[in-house]
Amino acid sequence: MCPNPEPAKEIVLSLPDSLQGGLEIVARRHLRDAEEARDAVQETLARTLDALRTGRVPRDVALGAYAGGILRHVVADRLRALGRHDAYGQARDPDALPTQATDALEGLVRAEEANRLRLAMSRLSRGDQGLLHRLFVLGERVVEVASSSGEPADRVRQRKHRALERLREFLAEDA
Amino acid sequence: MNCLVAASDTPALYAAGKLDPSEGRDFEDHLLECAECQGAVREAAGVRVALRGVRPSSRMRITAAGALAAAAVAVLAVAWPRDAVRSLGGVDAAPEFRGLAVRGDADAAAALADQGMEAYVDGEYAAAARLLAEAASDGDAPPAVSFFLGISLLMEGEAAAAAAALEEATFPEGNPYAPEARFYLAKARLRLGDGQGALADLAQVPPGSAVSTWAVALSDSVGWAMR
Repeated sequence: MCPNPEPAKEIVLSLPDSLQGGLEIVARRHLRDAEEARDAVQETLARTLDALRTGRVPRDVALGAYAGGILRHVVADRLRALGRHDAYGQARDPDALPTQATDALEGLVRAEEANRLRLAMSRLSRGDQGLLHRLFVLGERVVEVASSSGEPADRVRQRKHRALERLREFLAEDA
Repeated sequence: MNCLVAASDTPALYAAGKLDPSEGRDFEDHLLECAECQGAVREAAGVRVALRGVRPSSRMRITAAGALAAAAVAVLAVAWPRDAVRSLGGVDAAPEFRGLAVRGDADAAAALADQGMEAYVDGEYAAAARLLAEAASDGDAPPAVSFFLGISLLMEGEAAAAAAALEEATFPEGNPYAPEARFYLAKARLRLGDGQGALADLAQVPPGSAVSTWAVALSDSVGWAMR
């Protein structure tokens, strides 16, 4: 560990903008609770800043990966405290596995954005809506959709791209 | 869009919870530093909201200034419970096996090692541990066999046996499995409640190795948990 206050000072100034969005997504994903996630992100940022101030982060360490590592430990501790993980940090029940933790991410969308999104979505064709449902709600891969529909994967990918483009256009018109 | 990951299925699969733990962890490491992927995950969340009619949160997004202000308080308020050291020993996804032969000679031990690695890849860690232990029973197991045996035992909750196997995998010094073996040996020690031993192992993970950043972060968290 090499205390080096000068680069650390620069990083401290840029830290929240560069990391906070990603930390928020990951924390919500695992904790499934906006308030718990906010606390976990703040604790992670606090510890990362503290590590930078005291020179505990070596210069050659990628700060994002370091903060991500800290966040995982903070999340594991909170999951254990919430009784969703056992004392060894392992999931106590299948419902606590990260792969099931999807709904919390929808909290990233603010109420007014959601209303505009629903309106824009209603203007898409049923075909586009159906495709987006399979890819984004059911979580099917493009190749799975292509395989079941008999279409080439590239065509499905293009349809997805165009459907999202149309959705963005409808949102822009509504803005 | 410049990021190939952001343009792929991955952000939507992540939002839908369809990535396996190993894929999810790799994606999260990337996501933390990729604004495009963060945007793609937010867009995927928006599409899910629009399609499912889920009532979204009206909570304001956390601002950087708010986070920093609260962070100053949080850093003082953090109090890790005593078993936090053990909880840091959790492993949510076993290291990926990339298909290289773990035992070079075409003998009975090599056949057992191959069968063990097939079980490992399938996530059948109890079977993998049994087969790899047999493969290593001649006392001359290469580091790869000891490493995956240790990981399999760790995934099965056999921390003490895992620590023994992972320690074997750190020899000879400089072998390609040694850095990761040190990292997971620290995990095994944490499960046994040995924070100081874990810190000593983490300090031996060489900079620039695949797990060096995780080792620095874990070392930091162990330090906090032991305060």
